[in-house]
Amino acid sequence: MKNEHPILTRPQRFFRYALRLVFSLFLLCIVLDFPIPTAELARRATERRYYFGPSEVLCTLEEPLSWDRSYAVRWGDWYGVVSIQRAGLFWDTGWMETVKNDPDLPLIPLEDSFFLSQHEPVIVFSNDPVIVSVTLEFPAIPGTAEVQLITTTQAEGNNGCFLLSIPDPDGGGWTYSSRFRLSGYDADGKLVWRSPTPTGAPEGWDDLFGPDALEL
Amino acid sequence: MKADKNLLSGSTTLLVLSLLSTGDKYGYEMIAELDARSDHTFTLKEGTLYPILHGLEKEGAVKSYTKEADTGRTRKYYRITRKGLKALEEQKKEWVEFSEKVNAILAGCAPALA
Amino acid sequence: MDASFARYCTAVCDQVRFRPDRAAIQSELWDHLEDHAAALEEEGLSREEAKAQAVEAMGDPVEVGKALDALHSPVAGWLLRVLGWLSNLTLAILCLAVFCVLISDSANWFHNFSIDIRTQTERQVVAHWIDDQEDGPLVAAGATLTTFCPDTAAQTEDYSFSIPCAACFVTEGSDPNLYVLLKVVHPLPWLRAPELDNWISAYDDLGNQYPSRNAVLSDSQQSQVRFPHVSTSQLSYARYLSAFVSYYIVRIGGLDPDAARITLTFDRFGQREFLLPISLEGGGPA
Repeated sequence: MKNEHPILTRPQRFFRYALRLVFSLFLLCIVLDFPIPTAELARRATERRYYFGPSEVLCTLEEPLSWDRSYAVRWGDWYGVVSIQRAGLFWDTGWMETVKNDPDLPLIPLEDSFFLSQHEPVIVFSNDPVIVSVTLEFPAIPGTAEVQLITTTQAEGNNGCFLLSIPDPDGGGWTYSSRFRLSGYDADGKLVWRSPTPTGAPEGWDDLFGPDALEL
Repeated sequence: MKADKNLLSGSTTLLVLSLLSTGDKYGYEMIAELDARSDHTFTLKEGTLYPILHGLEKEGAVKSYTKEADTGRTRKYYRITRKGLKALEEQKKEWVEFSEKVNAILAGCAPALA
Repeated sequence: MDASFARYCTAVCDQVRFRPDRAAIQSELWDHLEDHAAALEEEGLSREEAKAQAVEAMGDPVEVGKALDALHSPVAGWLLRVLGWLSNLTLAILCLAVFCVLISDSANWFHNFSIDIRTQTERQVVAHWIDDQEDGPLVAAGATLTTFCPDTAAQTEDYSFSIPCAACFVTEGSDPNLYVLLKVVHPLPWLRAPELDNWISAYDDLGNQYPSRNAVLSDSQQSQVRFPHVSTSQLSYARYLSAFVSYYIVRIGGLDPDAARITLTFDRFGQREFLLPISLEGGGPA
């Protein structure tokens, strides 16, 4: 029956198209490595991988901490930053960092000791709504080998999250301290709270940067 | 008698199905054969043939396909399906029962027990 | 000059609301008219008369058209067409995606996907891991190796845990080390592996606590790793359907030799999400 061309009825065509569609979508999922359609789903998926949450989003960071987008979140006694990555038009899970909240402290940094770098901003969570501006200070030694106090401030945190970026070194490299000090100020510019000067800091921190030295 | 609401109960569909039961045909071929077999008594309005055929196709009683003739012309043919053959058998039975009852009434006696 | 045919067919088709089917209907009716006219011509009528009769024999075009329209529903018709376009579009996107992947990642195509066609079964992964333990530094340093398969499993909302194999290293004069091959199944492929690296801790039936390596690190100012503790890392060399399965190696150092049962757990955020008890009797440390 060489010259015959069957005409498909509507139900047959429906079945054929539906099958083709489902099959293509399935294979597409595999080829694209199981993309996640929305950023919100990707965020939740990342949290589930960490057994974290369901959390409340405090804000979306202007600059992602890593990957393509970061959210500052809170869940019970924990603060965290969830970062997710883009995959074409879709999203994929990323990673997250967490820190345990201490309700007695007004300011909680995401990490309390690490090497500060101009490429890595410091995230600080605030438990005190009075604080509107946060300052971070750390001693650093630029090329000339004289210890300096480097300050960076962010005013107007985003729903209790402050993102402090470390300034660029002015010629020469930094020698970073892994300790820093946070200060929180209210709307009038008055100091509300300052974290204790870290121990184990380079010698002379208190002399150089003690309460007296820092009166500006 | 059941009062079927779908197309498969019309007497014209019975004719169409029985025409197709002897082989695949295209539209005009069916008209011509009906004409010949009924000795020119049945003249189906040709236009109504196509709604019947499309309806039967929708119900799955017939299937259609296009075929190229040697002259290069393509035509749409219809073929009866298993479902169609079953429907044809049932319709034939119904028709026979119906005509027996009519005959019985005309002859004035009770209908014979089937 | 088939104007009469054209007029008839148009009159019928105008009644059919679903435009895409009109062409097929028109050609079928036209063929029929042609056949009939040809048959009439053979009987001796002129072309014009044959055509006129053929058209008349067809009957009222509006009636025919309405009957056909009832059978070619526009709603179903358009939905079907949309479905057809969607399915073809998706198929085209799929081909495009495969093509892009091939040209960009051609050397790594098989390695970068979560669905790896050369997957190993659990048995193969276990065999590979046992071989690695037997060739490992502990055995080389003189430890005795005992492998066993604990019968334990745990289930959380997104993941299922099981332990296909465990290995115990006993060295003269020091506490035993227990290495556990942990298998996690995640039926939701976009969720991928849970983040367990160095967050699994343990406790035994004698009341000893074995904190996770990360907990130990955050407690002390210097990163001094005290025994006993538990370190966990994801197994990377085995080839498996990593979209659905992940393997981890959990190392418990400084195991109490008198312990009869040790339980692995995860409590990074304060609640124990799962418990995996491992019986150490018979096949465990001497």
